[in-house]
Amino acid sequence: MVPPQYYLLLSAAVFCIGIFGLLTRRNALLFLMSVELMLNAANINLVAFSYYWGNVTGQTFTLFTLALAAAEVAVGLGIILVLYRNFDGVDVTNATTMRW
Amino acid sequence: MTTKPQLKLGSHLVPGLAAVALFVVMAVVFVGASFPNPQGFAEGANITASIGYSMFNLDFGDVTGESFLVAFIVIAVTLDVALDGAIHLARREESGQMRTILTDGGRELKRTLLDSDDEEGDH
Amino acid sequence: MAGILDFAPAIVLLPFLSFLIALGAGRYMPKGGALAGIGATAGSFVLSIATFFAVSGGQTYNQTIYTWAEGLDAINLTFGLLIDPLSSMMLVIVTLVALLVHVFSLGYMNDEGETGLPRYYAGLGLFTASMLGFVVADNLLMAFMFFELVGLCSYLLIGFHFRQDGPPSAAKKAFLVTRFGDYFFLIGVVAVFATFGSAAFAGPDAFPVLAEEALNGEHSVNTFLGMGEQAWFTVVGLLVLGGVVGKSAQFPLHTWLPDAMEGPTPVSALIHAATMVAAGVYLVARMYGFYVLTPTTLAIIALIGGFTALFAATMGVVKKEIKQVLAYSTISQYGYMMLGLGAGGYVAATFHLMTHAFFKALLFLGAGSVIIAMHHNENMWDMGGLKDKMPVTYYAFLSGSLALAGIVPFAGFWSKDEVLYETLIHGLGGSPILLAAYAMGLLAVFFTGFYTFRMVFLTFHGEPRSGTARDPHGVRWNVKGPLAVLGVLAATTGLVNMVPVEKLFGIEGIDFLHQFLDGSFSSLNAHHYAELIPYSSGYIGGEAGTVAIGAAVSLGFALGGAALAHVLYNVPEPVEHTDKLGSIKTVLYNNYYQDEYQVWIATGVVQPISRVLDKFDQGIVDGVVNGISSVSLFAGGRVKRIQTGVVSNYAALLTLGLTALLLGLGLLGGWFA
Repeated sequence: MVPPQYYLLLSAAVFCIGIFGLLTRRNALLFLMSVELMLNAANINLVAFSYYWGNVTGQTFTLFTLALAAAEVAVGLGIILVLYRNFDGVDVTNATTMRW
Repeated sequence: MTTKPQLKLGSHLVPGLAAVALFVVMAVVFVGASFPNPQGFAEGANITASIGYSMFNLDFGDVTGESFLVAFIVIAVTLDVALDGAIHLARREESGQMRTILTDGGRELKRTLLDSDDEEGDH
Repeated sequence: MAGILDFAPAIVLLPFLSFLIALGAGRYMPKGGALAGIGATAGSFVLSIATFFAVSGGQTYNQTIYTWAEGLDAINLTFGLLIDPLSSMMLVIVTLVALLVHVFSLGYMNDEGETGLPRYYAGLGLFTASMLGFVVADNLLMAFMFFELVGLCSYLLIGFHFRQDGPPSAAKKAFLVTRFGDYFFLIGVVAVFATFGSAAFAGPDAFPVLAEEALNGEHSVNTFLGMGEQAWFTVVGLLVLGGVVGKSAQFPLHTWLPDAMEGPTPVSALIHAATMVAAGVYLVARMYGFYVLTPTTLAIIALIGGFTALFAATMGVVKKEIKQVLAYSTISQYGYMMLGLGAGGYVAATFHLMTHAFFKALLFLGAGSVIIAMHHNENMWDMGGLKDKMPVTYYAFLSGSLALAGIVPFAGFWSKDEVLYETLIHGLGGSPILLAAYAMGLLAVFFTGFYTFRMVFLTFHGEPRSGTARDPHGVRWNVKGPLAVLGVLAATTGLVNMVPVEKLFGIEGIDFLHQFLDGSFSSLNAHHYAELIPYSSGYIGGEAGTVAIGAAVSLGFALGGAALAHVLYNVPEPVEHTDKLGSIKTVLYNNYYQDEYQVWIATGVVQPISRVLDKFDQGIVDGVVNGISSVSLFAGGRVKRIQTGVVSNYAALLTLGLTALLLGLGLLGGWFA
């Protein structure tokens, strides 16, 4: 039996790595990958607590989250394409027109 | 020729400290938290089959779970919409003219209207 | 209670309807809406007459019509009607004068080709309606609201010829001066509410009754400023009196009234005889049960009245314009009414209010007729010899003048004599203030006789002194008709209350007005007031003797004044004798510099204070407001820089925020234990 703390620590680590990527990178594609990491951190928790409660709800839900991640990536890639066209690149720090 | 990814250190990593700080806080909290023993699954239970059953509101699984039929349908529709949206966003018109969503903050419009190239001063 | 009194609201609403009609459709109607006004006031007049007879038969009416603000555990603010002898008498006066003024306006305005007639008739309708609403008001707040409406209408009508220079300024002056008085009235209304929790004139929680009971120690009321009940009631009475002094043009707020002559003459008749100016005195009569409880207030009222009567009469003797003389006579006559009220002569003052309404309306309409004839030249020195040219106007005007001067048996004699008689007996009963006021009133009788007949002689007698006087413009039936009606009334209304005759010859039962005013709510009738009056009576040689002496003296003074006028001015070629007065003439011409000193108060005292307050407002209040706004602008300009548009920055902020939130929650929730 692995105590839940370890799962939580793992998921927190994955989540923070995702955030680290978001904060330090400027490439939109890398942003998408980081977001995937963060989503999967949540999935780890879902699966871990599914086992913890002796219930498959968490695992089923993880499947849906994966599907949702796929949808998100699809839309995200579309947005990145538009970004590329409008700003001649995928550097997110160039797209600053929607401010004050 | 391919290049190896190399670790680049520098000031661009400074914002990452925020992520590290978040991890530290969460780690401290998690380590300090106490949980009762996990219940776990019954010996020899077929988890995968249980997931499949619960997804379609069937009650044959070894492990109990909630019903996800509606969620299943909704996620199917969502995936479809997301796919269509992605294609719509990514499509390029045949004439080469961009007729997809313009997100230039009205710069194009301003340029044609005012006939000038001057940007906002605080850019 | 069924019957005619249930139609009382219509008396008020009919003229209001004519106001709406004249305003909305007047321009499409023949005569510019005059006919609607005549019809409405005629209807009101008929209803008022019916009401009057119903009240004579002993009926009364006191009903709340509409509660427009309902208080939880507090005061209800209502509109209601109170019909008692006093208000029914006033209804008849107001509707009659308003009707005659409407008819007269056909001659004065329509036939003279004035423009803006719908506006004029709308104003007259609203004026009449507000005065009627004021008359029937059953509580002080409603009375105040209609009091203000009356003031507004006078502003609109005095400033009718708004394209000329004089009328707008006169209208503003009338509005502001009366507003100054009304300011105190408003505080008085609030004080009455705060003190008694009710402002009704009659009924179970009538405030005069509550005040009386409070003074008898039967129950308590709220008093303020640490005053006793008597002192506090005096303060409240004086506050309300502020509005009365402003509206009834008593010293020192009388200055608006002579200027108000800039309005069309029929409007002057309406203002002076029946509505605006009468409103003040009527208010005192309406809440007389309250005033009668405070001897100080009564004495002040009497003193103001007596002083104003004399003061205005002296100014009247030097004026050149016929309407100016009448204006000062109005101030003077209302002074008599105040004197009567202050001296405890409730019936006498009401009587004078009635007779004055008729003879002053007559005089103004007569002056209007003369002004039509003189092609709108009001200078009496350009007139003369009009007696033969316009006999109807002359005899009607003469009737009114005899009444004004107080020559027996015309109306003014009876009422003025009764006012002076009441003052005299109560003064003899041990009140030197009343004796002083009596002396002033008596002296004013002499001046009244003098200026009245100076006016008559200059206008109608002697030789014509100008081309227009030699060949005056004719007037039609719509001018002569009202004059004839009022001429008869001015000659005869005095007969309704012949107290001197009753007292001298012992004929009982001919003081009809007295009996009429006695039959009412027990707390509102003359008998009740007579019991409460804080004066005792004294006589010279018995009651009959005092009556005879008082009447003879005042008649003697009036005849003396008239005789002096006769000697000086009833000659073919009168000359200005005012030069013989020397420097007094200048003072009188300038109205004792009342206007000047009031302007000085405004510019010399109030303006510097206002400047300081303006500085405070501009500097501190506005400074704080502007400061807050510029701080916000500056801070906003800086804080918006956070919104860089760079998505990484947003993410960093989110992360830091989440971290801070977790830290905070953890520290508070003890997760780090």
